[in-house]
Amino acid sequence: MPIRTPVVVEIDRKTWLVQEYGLDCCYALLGERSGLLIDTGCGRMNIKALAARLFEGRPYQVVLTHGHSHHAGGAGCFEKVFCADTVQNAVRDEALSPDFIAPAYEGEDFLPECLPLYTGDEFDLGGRVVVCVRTPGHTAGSCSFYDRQSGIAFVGDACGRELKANNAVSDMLTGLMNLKRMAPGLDRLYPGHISYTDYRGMPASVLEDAICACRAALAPDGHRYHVDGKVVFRGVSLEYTKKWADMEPCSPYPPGI
Amino acid sequence: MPISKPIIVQVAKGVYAINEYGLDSVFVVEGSKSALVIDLGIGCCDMKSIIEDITALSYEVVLTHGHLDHIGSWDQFDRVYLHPDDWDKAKAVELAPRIASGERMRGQEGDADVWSYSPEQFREWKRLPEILPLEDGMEFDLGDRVLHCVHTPGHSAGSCCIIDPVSRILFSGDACNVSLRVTDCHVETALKGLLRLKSFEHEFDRNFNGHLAYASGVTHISMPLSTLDDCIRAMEDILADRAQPNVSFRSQWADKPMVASYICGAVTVTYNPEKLRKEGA
Repeated sequence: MPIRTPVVVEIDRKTWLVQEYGLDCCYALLGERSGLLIDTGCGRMNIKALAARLFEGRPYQVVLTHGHSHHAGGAGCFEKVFCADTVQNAVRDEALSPDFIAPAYEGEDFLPECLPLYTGDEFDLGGRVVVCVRTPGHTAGSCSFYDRQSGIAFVGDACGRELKANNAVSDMLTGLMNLKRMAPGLDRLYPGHISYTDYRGMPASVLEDAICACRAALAPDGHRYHVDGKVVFRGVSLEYTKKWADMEPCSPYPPGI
Repeated sequence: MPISKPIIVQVAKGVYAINEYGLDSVFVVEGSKSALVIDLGIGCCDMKSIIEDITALSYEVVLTHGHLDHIGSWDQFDRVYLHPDDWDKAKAVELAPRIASGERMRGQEGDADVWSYSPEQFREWKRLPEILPLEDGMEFDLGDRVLHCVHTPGHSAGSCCIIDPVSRILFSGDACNVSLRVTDCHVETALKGLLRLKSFEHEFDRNFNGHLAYASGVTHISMPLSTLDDCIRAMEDILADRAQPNVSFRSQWADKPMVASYICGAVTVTYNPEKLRKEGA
């Protein structure tokens, strides 16, 4: 691969996307006082050194959109992270090719202290507030982060043009509706994986379409929207099984709902 | 696999950058009614299709200056705005220097194999657009977003910057960056233009130059905010004879006999030591 370093892309004021060799992407947001790192990649790049450079030496916190090792692989660099899932250890994840994983940090088996995340949690960076919204579906603890300054929601793998429900579809619907409600100025969504050549993110309409796809999956006549076994609503396809469509929503929902 | 098509980045709400194989950057700014395209690259891709994939709005095209790596796709458009001081130079651009310029840039600032494109992709111009005068103070009202032009001669006599007060972005072309070449103009002229640009600094807090992720660099970030002040300070030092040029060499880029290079803060200013002040000024 000719690209031998992570690609850093400025997607808004004091807002950077870090493309990790086409595998995944992380995001760095800087306020007047501190920064927020969203996801840590596979652990192939030295995300800690990169974050320190982007944050100009200011303190920062680390949040994970979910615990999969493509996003939590670099978490071992840090003492503590916020995550609503169990953090997977990238080094021990057999699903990841060993070619991809070359942890840039010492102590391969180290896992950070994991702090909880709930809908409504706010990260105040100084003149810039980022709000957490639980958006389960891809994983039970998937979270999205809405930045009021840029109007960007960082959704990890919880929302996009190709969705797969690994949990109750009704919970996915509730989470996405909460995201819509709590992001009134939403302009763009940025996912946890992105093309090397297009860093435009996704328009806010993708969230609307994802909500409609979930509703269609739960509707008695939802089969009208089925294409090749998936619900397809405008630009969004949702893959799910009957088990996840029939499953009752989790109750009670985490605090904040 | 090397990257085989231009990279598109959204840098703010309604503001897009197109990185044409590391050779140059084209910007598209959308308002509520229309859009503005800033620069047209070197002309080795179908820029019109890329622009019209980004925006469905009608648009005008402004060119920050008349150099070959900023006007390259102008054969695809009916009309463009360009400062009259750069018209003659722009019209005289030929295909071979465009290809040679691309090959020179390939591999600078990184690895030569990041991008995949071939000289055959460079289009020879069969027609030129209608060229309309771009003037200092000219406004472009896109609907809920009014951009304006500031004439900043230096890199070329007709160089202009465009300011978008909504996104608070300065589109500086090649007129205000960390590797500023002012060999075509007198340093004093360039300084006057940048001091005028500074009078608008309350309208922007990011500076995107015409080469986002230059050459084989893959970092798509704006210029340091100190760039304008550093450029001004460098030129003031040069004119006050306080500058100690770090190097003085024969330019591989231009036909100028000698250029000097002075580093100040984050900025390197390259200039012709024999062209400091306009005679009689």
